[in-house]
Amino acid sequence: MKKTESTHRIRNRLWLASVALALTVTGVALVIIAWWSAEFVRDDLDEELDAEALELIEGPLREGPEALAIELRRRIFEADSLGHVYLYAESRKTIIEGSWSTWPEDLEQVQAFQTLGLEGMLSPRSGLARQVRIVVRTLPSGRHLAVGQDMTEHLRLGEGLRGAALLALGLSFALAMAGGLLVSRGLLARVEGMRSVVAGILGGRRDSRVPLTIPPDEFDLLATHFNHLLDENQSLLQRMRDVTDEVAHDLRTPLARMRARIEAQQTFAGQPGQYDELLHELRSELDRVLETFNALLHIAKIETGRVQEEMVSVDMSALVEDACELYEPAAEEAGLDLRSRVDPGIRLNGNRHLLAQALTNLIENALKYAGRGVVSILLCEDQEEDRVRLSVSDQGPGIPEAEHERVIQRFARLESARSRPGAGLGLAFVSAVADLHGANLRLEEMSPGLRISLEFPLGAGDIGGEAN
Amino acid sequence: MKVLIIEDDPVTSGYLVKALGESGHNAEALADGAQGLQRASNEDYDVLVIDRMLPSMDGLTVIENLRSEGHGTPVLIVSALGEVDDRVRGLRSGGDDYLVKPFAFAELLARLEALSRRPQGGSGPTQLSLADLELDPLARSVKRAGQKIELKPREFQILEYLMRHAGHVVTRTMLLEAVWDYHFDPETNVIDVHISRLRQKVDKGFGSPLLHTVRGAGYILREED
Repeated sequence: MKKTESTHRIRNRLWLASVALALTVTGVALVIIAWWSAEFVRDDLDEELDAEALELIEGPLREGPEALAIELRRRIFEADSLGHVYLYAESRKTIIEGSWSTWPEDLEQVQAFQTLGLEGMLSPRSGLARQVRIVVRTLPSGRHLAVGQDMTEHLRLGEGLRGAALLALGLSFALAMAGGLLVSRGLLARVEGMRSVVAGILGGRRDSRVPLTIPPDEFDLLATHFNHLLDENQSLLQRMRDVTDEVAHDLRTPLARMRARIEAQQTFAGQPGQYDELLHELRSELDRVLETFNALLHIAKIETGRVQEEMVSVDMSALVEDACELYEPAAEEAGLDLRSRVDPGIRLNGNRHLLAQALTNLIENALKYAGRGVVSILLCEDQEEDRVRLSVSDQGPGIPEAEHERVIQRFARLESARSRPGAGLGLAFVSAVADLHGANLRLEEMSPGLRISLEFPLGAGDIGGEAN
Repeated sequence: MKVLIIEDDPVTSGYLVKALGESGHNAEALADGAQGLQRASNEDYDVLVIDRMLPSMDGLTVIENLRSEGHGTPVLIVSALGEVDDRVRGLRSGGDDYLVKPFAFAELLARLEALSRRPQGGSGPTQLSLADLELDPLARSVKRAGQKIELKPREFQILEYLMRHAGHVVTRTMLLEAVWDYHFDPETNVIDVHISRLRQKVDKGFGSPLLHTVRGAGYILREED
């Protein structure tokens, strides 16, 4: 896993996104503030101008046009230093009294607030003013009165705001760059941690796991699942390895025996009649090898959970009754009494074929090893413990307590049973089926006899047999 | 019985062609899936034997193609994949029976014969009879020489299966599959004991026995010649 530019794609994307977000938010906020404050200042100015015009109309004008002209002249004289503009005109051409000698061309003679550019026009105060805000009033006599104020202060405020906005934008850009980089690095360090664990596992360090932090966060939740997956994977791998070892060991032995048998025949070329005997022997040996091989693969397949999709609701009562019915005549023939007590209507979620095969394995074991007496099969529901119990018990020699754990292992066969047929996979198969269904496999010494029971959790099948 | 074997292992197919020939049948073999499909759709066969793993086109695809072209020729799938789900998948693709490798030739022959005479559609005759033995599947009653015979439900099912295959060998595995729906072979010969009980009821005390054991293969229900 080489660290190229592309491996930083998510970090860069996160980073860019945080910068873009910060800039957008700041930018929008500033534009709104600038626009709103400009409006506010202008409205304020307009109100002032309107009030002054009204005051002039209500006051001096009442006393006659002359009084207005005098008042205006007085104000113009004072106003020059305050940036105020007054015009009192008969028409566009004839100014009665005013700050300017002519009515500006751009200034409409209608009742309205207007903004007037002052390019090349003399400023009432200094050369600074570029714009003047003016309110024009049409008087009852048909003359026009204009009251205005230069917008220097207003414009300066706007410039100040723009400067501050640019500064704020620059600052937030810098902060977003730094913050985004830190956050995305921090987040991705966790991802990088997982990546390096995977790389380690691929490199052979199978035990490495993603470290968790306290208190746990979302990444730890992911890491927990991830570690769980790794554990599961490792145990499956281990099981596969066990199976491979067992297959290698237990198939090599009979194969070597067959090879030796053939070689002996070739070396000491016997009579033609012996070939038939040899072939017969080899064939039955080969059949046993194949049987072992199939059983092993079957168990491995169950243990690795590859039969999950076959889980359906199974009528256990019918399944147990069928099996008993199948074996009852054979048991009688063998001098055994096969008895069964089956509670009706018991259902489990499971794999019918595997359950049937597990039960027949148990019955066959009992028939094979008990030799005499009663073999009893019991299926009942234990309401109190929320369990379904299926048990097969015999009155044979049983299995010593100390050996119970071992007989469930694959191939384990008690010393005394070595001479009998069977690949020794019976109980291992039952154990695998039990695991698949989330059931407990229990061996109990009955002195005399052995009871093997499977305890299925009621309703456990609903969650797929708890195989995981 | 004209049989086409589509199987890529030359030793297996050579042996099957020879053994089927010696049993009085006419068998030919092809090793390639696509060629097999072409031959099977162009010529008339009584039954097809198809391996699952084949070069160029796998066995299940061959069967699906045959079925979608409307060919109803019975198919026996033979495969080293022997788990229940493999079997289910095989039958779902349109196969009629499934045999796991390795198998005994007697088992294959019995199944081929059963398949080649399987009625196409319908559930068969409503009255089965052989010599003086009569079985009514609907009334679930059995009579021999006009005398009513009481059978347990499983015994009845076994007898019905044997009668539907009268004159042909039925193996223990076939009975386990048909009557118990068990797709594995128990170690104990459980079927033999059931058969001997059935024989007690059906044959004992009547003229000539009808239920015979075929050594190394299974059972057959037929009149003695």
